[in-house]
Amino acid sequence: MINRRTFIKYMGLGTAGVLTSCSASEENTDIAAGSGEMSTRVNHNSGDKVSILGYGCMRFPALEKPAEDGNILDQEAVNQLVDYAIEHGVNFFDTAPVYSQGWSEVAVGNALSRHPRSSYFVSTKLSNMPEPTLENSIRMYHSSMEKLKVDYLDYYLLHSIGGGRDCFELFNRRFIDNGLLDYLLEERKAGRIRNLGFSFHGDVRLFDHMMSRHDEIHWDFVLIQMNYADWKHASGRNVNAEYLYGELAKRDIPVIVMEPLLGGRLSKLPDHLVSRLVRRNPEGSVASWAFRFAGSFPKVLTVLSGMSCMEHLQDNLKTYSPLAPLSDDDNAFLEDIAAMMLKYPTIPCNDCKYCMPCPYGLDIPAILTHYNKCVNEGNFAHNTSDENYSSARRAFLIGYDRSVPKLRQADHCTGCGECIDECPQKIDIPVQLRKIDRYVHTIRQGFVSLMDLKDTLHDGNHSLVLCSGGAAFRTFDGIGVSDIYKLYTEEPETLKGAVLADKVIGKGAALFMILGGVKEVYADLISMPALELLKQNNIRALYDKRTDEIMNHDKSDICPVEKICKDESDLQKCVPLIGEFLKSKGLV
Amino acid sequence: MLRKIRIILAALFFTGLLLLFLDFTGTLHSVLGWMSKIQFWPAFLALNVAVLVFLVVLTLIFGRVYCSVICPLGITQDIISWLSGKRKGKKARFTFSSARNILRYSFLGLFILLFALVSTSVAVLLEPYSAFGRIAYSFLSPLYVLVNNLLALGAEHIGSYAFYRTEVIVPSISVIAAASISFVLVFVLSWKNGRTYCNTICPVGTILGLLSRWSLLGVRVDKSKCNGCGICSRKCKASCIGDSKVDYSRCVACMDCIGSCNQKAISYGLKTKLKPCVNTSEKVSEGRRSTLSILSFLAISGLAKAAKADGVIKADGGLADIKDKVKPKTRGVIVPAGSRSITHFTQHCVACQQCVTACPSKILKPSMELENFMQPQIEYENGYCRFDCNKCDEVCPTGAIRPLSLADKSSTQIGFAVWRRGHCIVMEGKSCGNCARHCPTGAIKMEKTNPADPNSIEIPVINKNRCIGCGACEYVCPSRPKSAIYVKGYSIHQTI
Repeated sequence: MINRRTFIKYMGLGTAGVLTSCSASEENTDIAAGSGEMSTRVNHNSGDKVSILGYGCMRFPALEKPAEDGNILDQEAVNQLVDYAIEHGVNFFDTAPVYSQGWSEVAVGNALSRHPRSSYFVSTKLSNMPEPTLENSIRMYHSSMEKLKVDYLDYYLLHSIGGGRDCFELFNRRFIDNGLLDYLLEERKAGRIRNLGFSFHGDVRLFDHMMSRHDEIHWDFVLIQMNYADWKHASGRNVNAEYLYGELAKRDIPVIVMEPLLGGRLSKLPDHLVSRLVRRNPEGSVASWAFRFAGSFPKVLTVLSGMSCMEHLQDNLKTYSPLAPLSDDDNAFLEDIAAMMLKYPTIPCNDCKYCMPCPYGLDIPAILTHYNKCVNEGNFAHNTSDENYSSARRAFLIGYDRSVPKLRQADHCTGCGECIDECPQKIDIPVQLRKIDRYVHTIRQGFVSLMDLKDTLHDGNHSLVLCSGGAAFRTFDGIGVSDIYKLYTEEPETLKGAVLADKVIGKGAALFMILGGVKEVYADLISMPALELLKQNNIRALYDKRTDEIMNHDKSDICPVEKICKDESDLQKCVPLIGEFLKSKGLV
Repeated sequence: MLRKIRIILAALFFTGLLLLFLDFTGTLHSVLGWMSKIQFWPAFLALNVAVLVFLVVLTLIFGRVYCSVICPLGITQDIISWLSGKRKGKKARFTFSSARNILRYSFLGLFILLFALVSTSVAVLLEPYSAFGRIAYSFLSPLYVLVNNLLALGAEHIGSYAFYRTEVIVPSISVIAAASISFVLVFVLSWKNGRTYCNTICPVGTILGLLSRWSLLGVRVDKSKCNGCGICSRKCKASCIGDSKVDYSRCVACMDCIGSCNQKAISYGLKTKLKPCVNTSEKVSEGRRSTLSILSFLAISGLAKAAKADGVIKADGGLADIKDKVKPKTRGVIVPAGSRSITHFTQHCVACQQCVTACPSKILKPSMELENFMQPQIEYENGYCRFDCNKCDEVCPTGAIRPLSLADKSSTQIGFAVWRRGHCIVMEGKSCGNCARHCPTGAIKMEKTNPADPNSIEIPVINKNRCIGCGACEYVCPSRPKSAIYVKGYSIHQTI
């Protein structure tokens, strides 16, 4: 792991490196104007002088209808963007055979072939996931060169290493067992691949394995997801960029950065974070913070940005011409922003569309993006009594129908799971879609359905799901009655009128529900005394199974909490007793 | 003064009723809903005794003010007739004609016969309120939605949520045809002769005419002041002042004649004997404007077509195609909860289309079959009946869909789900369970075909007793074009 001191050291080196590499920068203190030259970095493996801004070719503008040859991309717009980028110092273009339904490589080839071959570096990937035979893979490799209209590739990547249910198995199947890696190494020797590397998403064990083979294979570069949110707070099963970068820097492997802006999520932040960023640098865009963050690391060769329109391109050119590296203070500030982002329940979708097309016609990225937008704009309501509840509800529902046609909305997800393996961010898409569907359902109909709570309980394998405000659900994963005890003692207002689903309801759990004023409950398993008690107190209870007694974990005896309250008729008296027990077990 | 009051009230009623028919959000209904509930024939079908008594008393006191102020089709005719007068540049263009009693009673008789023996849906082709509803639904509501959608587009552009897009209603050819017949008939008759429709064809007009003969108040002519100029007769759109008296069975109490009399001989009050007025027979020039009505019809249907093109889903390259679902042949007829039974519904519905416009899920569609022509029925291809909604029974003026509380609605079984094994994707070894997940009553459960074998597939098992026929399962079923689960209607609704 890279520690803070080494990080600062790198930062310092980076600053120095950039300052020396851009001769004009010392005089030109007007960063905002971006009037200087594009900052560059040198790849010590090949001597390539690469622009710090790389063009990610995954998000080019599409046509309304595919062109005659089937091209879905707007070639004219692509040409304009590429020309403008080259004119302003960008010389690195990264694509892949799977981008834009296979048309990205074609469009990039068309655009770049109008420029001298020596004026750009082109990078593409071996996306041989579906049928990784040697034959298919080699065909894909040749087809890439053909489409890009080149006879050598500057940068070639094993695409998306670390994914799949069993990442080692998939990696071996794709590159080792079929002898493909050996073939590629030969191609590198022959000069048709000038730099060989891989792009990484997912399981850290495979990353470590790849690092361990560096001495033998010699990776010329590695493409990783790196930005100020992922630096210390990578989402889900992703790996913190701090670790990945540290490992690569240690081995002096040039780093190419992808998702510096998290598919735009770092420019579409919640309002108050946006104002903090703008206050600190009124001249720069919100996005410029993310680009300066990624570019400030000295081992970063280039930062890929999927610029889909001229405005994005110009903004990035401004940020990087030249790059004004971040100070330690700035980094601490961004780390603070990243920490605050965590408080928002956004879904880490970067709109890369790898999950598409969904066989059932859903528009997955549009659904997730709409959800994130609402969360960031404060239009995701937790409570029907919130002041802005009705406007938030309206914005969510109307915006949902606007961004996603009805038949492509989350309620049509069958849960087939084909998308899960495709997602580089490892989002459990069906679970998230169901969560959104239930939220839509709840706010649309204006009441909470026990069935929805029950499904949430099972989907996430939670121990308790609760809806107290009539809008968003809260999930808990604690042991036994610990969660409901904490809710009752720490935030009793939450239980008032709440609807909840619990895995197991014995008398212990039931008494907190009664004392707290819960309205309806569902339980996978309920004890007879608990059911009796709930009924007496007019709490509607649905359940899957009934039992006489709740047992402890190894089923050897009656559950200790049940023992405590078994013969006590004054419920209030049980509360401190159960509290003591939970404390003694360290559960609260 | 009385005329001004009449015009203001009529304008209020007309705007209110028109908005009721156009408003797809259903919000206006709480404020204006009473306007459609006091319509004569809907109230009759709803057996709304209070309203009927009110209307009878109203007519017995004031004469046929109902036809001038409350009936939307009556007001429509006044508007057309007024436009016609403007166009022809004549302020007094009518002429007295005697009552076509044989014709009007035959129409009333025909209406009652059709209603009693054939079906409500055919009978209401003559009825004014539903005729207005059909015209508004077929011609105006697509325009209204189109304008709304344009506003929504603008709102979307500036990130506002003030307007939202909604489905443009595209009436089918036969619906347009039925509405056009009503419209052309009413248009031509009122363009030429004012209230001919009301006084010869309209069954409600004929019934109220019978009552208004004996009304307490009416238009009176003071024979001591009358100089027999006949201007009142030419002002009367009902053609009912002439020769020697006012025909109270046809007078709609519009008060136009009062101000027209230079001698101030006409007033409104307790009926007294009338001095005979001279009937001047000025020949009304024959209108040759029927082409205009045809042209306007073409223009409107053209717009309806444009609306259809707008409704097509924009195809994106990265999205799988979604095939349209087809209606299951064995669905039967499904009518909303509150209708009690298909018989009750068909007998009471005047096909005014208010519920069709108000339905937020857009699942109510006018039927094309002869036995329930234009009467709405439920289709689940593109939506389902929401648990939280009872808009249709709120707006129904005739009691064809009786008001139900949400709790009662959610326990009324309007149909039941049927599984079609051959179409279900779980039979191909795919996992799904979307129907079970979306069932609001827990009537569908995914169960293993062989409980002993954990690897056996899970199929949806329907508990018919708990199914209310809301169609959520059918709507979310991934099998297309034939849904693997669909709802079949109950002819008599059940309660859980």
